[in-house]
Amino acid sequence: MSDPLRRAGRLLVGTLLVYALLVATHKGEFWPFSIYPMFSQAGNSWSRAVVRDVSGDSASVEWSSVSREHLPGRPFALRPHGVNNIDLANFVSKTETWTPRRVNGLRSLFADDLTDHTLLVMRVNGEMNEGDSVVVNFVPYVYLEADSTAVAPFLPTGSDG
Amino acid sequence: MTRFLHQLFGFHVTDTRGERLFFYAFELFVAACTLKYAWSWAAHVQQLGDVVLPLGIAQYIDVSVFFESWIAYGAAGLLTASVVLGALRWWRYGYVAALLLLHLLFAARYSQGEIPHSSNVLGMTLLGLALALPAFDAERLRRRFTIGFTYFFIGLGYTSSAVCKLVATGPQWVDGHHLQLWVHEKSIDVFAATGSFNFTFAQEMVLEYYWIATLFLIIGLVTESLAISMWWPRLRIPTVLAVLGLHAGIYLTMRIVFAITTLELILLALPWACLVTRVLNGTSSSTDEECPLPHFRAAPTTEPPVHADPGAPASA
Repeated sequence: MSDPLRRAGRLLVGTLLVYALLVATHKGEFWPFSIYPMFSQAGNSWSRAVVRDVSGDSASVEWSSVSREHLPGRPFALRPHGVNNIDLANFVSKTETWTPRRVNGLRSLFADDLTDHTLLVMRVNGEMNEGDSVVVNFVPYVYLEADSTAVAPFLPTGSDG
Repeated sequence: MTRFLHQLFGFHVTDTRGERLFFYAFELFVAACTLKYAWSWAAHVQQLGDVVLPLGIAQYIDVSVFFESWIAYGAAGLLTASVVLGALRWWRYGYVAALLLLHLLFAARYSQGEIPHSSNVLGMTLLGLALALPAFDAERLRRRFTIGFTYFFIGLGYTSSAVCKLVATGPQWVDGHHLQLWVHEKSIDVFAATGSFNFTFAQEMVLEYYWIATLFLIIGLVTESLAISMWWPRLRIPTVLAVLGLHAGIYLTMRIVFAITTLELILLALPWACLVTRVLNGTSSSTDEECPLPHFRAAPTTEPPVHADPGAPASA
């Protein structure tokens, strides 16, 4: 084997070893290394988030889940406002306790918009029912006004540690 | 092993002007996309307020410091300088520095819970360049190593994805109901991003006909499973084209676009170097001598002679 080929082989094997070590010790992900597990767990329920513009709505917030046909307010499209919908979805679903820091983190995503809008962040849950149909529910989570925030009463809140 | 490395890297195959020009374009593409990611991520972290899910290096250092504008933009600026120095061959560790800085910016940008894979292919290619420049003196060897390294890890990545699916769910992964559930999930993503809710024609077909949904998943899983075929030059064109087809199917059913990955696959799927060589030579002949395809041609059955001075710079 020529020297460049031997060197290339060692680099390949070395990279594979580092790759394996990093993904094995970091739950399959250490950019740019990955085991690419996306969509591997099929059939599981999912969670996403949408935002509704409820500016001017005089009724108080109803904290119960609704279907898409009964959503409050109007759509608040995230893309034109520079908010990544995946970031928001993960923020909402992965927050275990809505501490002041988490609430402020959520508000910071909409900092420029709250002066003109009152927003309702809703978690969207989807799952397959026994009849193999997809059921989607929208659950109000956080109500954002210019100078106040209301978190759904069923969500755990607490102080920053 | 030796035969496999010969086929993967093609160090012994004759260099052509078309291959050199193709690689200049390929490296320019990688550099440009690296800068695009760096500056867009640096800009995005300005609106972040808290680390939700630390990834990579963020598990060991506090990446929220990048949420301060000057630090993120400073990192992007340093990265830009590193890429330029590496591309101009003024600093052989330029791409190493760029890769490390890009990892930091990735960890800061994707600290909100999402674990994206849109930049992994480019990241592995950048790693290939980062290893090639310090390891080899000859440009010909650097080119061949980078391309072979890229094919190896792209193929490995897609096949790994198939293995993950079979391990996590088993053969029943291809059940069309699973795709129907994902289509609804992605429709909510579009609804959240745009404010409008609708299904594409392909999505409606998947939702209406279970067998179409199942067929999509079967084709996708088989394509991923066979992706490591691109390790062998004879199979590269059909394999990479099949992977491109996979991404087309993902876009039609899930409306997920991996733009930069797709562009890189297009660069790797087709014999661009051969086309350039033909244009430069002014011939339409398809003989191997006039249109060598080292990246797509199988290695000879006997080991080729060793070069007298493998470290000597090749003629550019």
